[in-house]
Amino acid sequence: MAEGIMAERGRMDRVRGDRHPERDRNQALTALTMDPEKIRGKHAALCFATMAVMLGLPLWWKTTETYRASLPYAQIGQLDSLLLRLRVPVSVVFIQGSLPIVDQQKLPFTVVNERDVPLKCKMKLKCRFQQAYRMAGSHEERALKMDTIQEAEAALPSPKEDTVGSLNIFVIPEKSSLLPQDKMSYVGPKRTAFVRGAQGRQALTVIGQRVLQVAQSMSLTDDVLAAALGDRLPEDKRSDDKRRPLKASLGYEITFSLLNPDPKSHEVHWDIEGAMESFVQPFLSLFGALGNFSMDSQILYYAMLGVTPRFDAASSSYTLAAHSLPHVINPVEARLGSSAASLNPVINFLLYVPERAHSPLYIQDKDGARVATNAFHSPRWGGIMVYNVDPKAYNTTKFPVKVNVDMVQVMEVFLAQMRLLFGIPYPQMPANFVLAGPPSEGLRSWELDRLLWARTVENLATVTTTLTSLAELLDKIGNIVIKDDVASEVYRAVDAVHDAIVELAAGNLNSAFHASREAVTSSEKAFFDPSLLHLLYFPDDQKFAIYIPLFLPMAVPIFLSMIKIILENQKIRKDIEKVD
Amino acid sequence: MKLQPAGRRPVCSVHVLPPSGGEGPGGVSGGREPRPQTGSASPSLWQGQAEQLFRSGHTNNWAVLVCTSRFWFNYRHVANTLSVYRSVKRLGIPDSHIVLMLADDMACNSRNPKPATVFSHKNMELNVYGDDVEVDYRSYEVTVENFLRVLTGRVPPSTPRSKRLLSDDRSNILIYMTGHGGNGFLKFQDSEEITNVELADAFEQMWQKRRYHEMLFIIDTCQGASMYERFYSPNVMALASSQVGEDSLSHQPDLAIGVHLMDRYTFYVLEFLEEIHPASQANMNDLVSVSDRGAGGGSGPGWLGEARGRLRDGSVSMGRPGGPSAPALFLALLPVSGWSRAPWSRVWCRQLSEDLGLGTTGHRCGPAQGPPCFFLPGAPVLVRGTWAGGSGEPAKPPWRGPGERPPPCPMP
Repeated sequence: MAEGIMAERGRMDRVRGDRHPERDRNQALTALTMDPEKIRGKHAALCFATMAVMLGLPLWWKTTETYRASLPYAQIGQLDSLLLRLRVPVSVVFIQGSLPIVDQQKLPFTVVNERDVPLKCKMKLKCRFQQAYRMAGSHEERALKMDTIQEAEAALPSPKEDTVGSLNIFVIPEKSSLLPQDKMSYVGPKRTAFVRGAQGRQALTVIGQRVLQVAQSMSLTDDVLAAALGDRLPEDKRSDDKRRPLKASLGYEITFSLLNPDPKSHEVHWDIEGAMESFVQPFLSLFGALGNFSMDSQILYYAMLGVTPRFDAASSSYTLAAHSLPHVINPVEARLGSSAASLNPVINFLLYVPERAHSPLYIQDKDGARVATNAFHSPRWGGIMVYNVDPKAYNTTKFPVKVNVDMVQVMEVFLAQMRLLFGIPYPQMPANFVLAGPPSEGLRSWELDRLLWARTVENLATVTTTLTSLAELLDKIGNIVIKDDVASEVYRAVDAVHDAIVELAAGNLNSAFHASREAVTSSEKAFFDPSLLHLLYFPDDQKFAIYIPLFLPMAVPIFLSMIKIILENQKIRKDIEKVD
Repeated sequence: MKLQPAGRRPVCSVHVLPPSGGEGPGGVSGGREPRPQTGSASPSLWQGQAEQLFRSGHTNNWAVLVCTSRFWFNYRHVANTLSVYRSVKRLGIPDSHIVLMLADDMACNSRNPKPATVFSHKNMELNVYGDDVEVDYRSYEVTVENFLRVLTGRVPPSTPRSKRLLSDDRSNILIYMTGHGGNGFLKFQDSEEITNVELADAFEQMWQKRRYHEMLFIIDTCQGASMYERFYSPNVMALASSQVGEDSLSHQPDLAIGVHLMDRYTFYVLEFLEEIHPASQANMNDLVSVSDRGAGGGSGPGWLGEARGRLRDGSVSMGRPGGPSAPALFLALLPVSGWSRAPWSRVWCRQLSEDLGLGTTGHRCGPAQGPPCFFLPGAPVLVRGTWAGGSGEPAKPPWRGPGERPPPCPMP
């Protein structure tokens, strides 16, 4: 009986047990799916997660990114491989008798001569000489019938458009007596040149070659362009011409100083104002396009040179050897006060009147010979000249001796040094050229043109480097802020570069130079804007360290509830399957 | 890179007339009529002479000297920087070309027993503060931001000229930094740091804008070599006083002033610079070898040099993997009078400071690696009468040699 009951009970239990899990399961299912609290909880967690992901993350991302106004990255990338076409308009004028008749009838026509300038640089340069051949007019014929070349030049009518950067070449008859017998060409001070004509079958070709040679030596040579791009080319230790000239800048400050170390013996007067007006002003007015020049002068007393000169018994004078010259400048420079001047580069010209005990003082060059001008200059700094007082003046008993400085002699040297410091070296002409001396201002017009070409090319190279490095910088360092005005300066710089390229290709040197200067100003302003300085270099571990305490407490509950929801859903699905 | 007196400018063309006569360089100006010049006068004579003077390629020099610490116990950092400033000025860089950043709080500090002075040598021999120190960034202006602004040139428009680094592509720049540092960073005035990545980026920006021709970077801090690890710009040479994981040690204390006067590395570098005169032919190798030999024990200072664009870590390429061991180094090179350079002075300072109750005055004593250390009452202030500087002959300790303990020094 008991077994039966037990068995029955067991059977019932079994039956109940069989049905129990199902009931339990159903109960659980209903609990899960129908219980409002649980559902609300699930929905709340889902809402939190959605808000965090949909709203929070983008908001955080947007508010923590650095502000960057848009920049023309594509155009800046193109700047890297610029192609510059430098066009030099040349007008070639033939006088009667300089060309065979046969060829004369072919005039007027234009010859274009373009060649690559071989430089190891990313920027490509092409020189283009556009020669317009024509016959001379009556005025020009008359002018060139003069006896000497100077009169001929003076009598020539000034060309209608004496534009900067262009050249006028006159071809004179082969047997003309204007030039010395063995010379082929004459290069004048003002963008004009004379070339001997030729006769014979290949006359035009021969003349063309001569004209090209003259034109190239007067305007663009490879040296000029290499000097302009000096710092972008591989270092060439041998060429001092590349290192001497001052870099292009918006303005320069020129200081003339008179050093009088021995005021007890010398009372030195120099008419610096008059000298500046008559010599320096005309010279610098030619440079007007290059920048603002401000000039000042000072007199320093008891300013010694740092080097003791050696006594040379043979000539009973004192000498400064060439190897001691670099040490002359340092002790003086501290007293020159150039740091109080403006932010522009300062060019110093010093005139030193040696002490009575060390008079007369001469400068020796490397070989021990006396330097004729008694002066030397230092690249990118300025020049020093030693002015010796006439020893006869010491025969008096009244000290201090009055010394009136001969400003002509001094200014000659200073102007020559200034030429070199600005990058206008002594022109190198082939052997059969006659080179006229410079006009009274001291600068030939085509030398100035050459300087403008060089400066334009240099400016464009500078802008390219600045803008490309700015773009690289922004790429590499993600925390730099670009404000709107910085972006507008960059746009302006890029536009100015394109303008300059167009003007160069058209041959307008003046406007090209101005455009390039504008480009440099804008790009420098953009690059050196104080707001660009990034201080916020955060290594990755610091970023984690900052964000984890903020995000982790919020993220952990959401994350865990998501996991819980997912697991529950998985379980429900499994149960439903099993039930089914 | 030739280590010439810094102001040595290459001098150009002493205006010798072109050999074929004709107009000289001065054929201009009113009064002289222009003469046609025969074109054959190539001034190659004077050009050749100028070329020989142009060996180095730079035309001016700049120096940026930064002391990144403040407070009295960091006296030695200020003394370091001022000593380097003096040397640099003596060698020819004028004030207008030096940017000096100092927390200028030593000379007039209320704890300074000799006000208006900063000494860099024991016996108070040399007052490096003097009358004509031109500090460009002082006190709280010495910040990472200002330092980076000076280097990169992004200064506000109202900054005066003396606070700017107006270098160009032909400038050689010396950058000297000293203070407290760690692995990859340098502490600026207790409130901020500059990391080696920032410094490397700043140098790269300088290179992009061609603001230097060659740069010499000297750093005298603990673990200084970590600061130049990230440099990637060309033409930079870096010297550091200690490798990563090492400390830089100070040189000597002065008991009258009560702090350490100078750091060891800077002391030996300055000793080397004192010997430079206008005709000297010393070059960078000499500087590197001097500093390697003289300064602290262990693997010693490191340097990073670049030759033609290749970065070389000095410790590898010079065949000095960390330098010889300290005992051999010092016993081999110990001159008789130079006992103050002994490695055991490290231990001395610790013991001395404990004895005098000064506590650790910010000077870090590394583990003694030298010969068996013994107490060296080195400060001549204490024993002035006995052996230091009395008769002018090299000072010799009165006891026999290593292993014998001298009598403890009396309290000041």
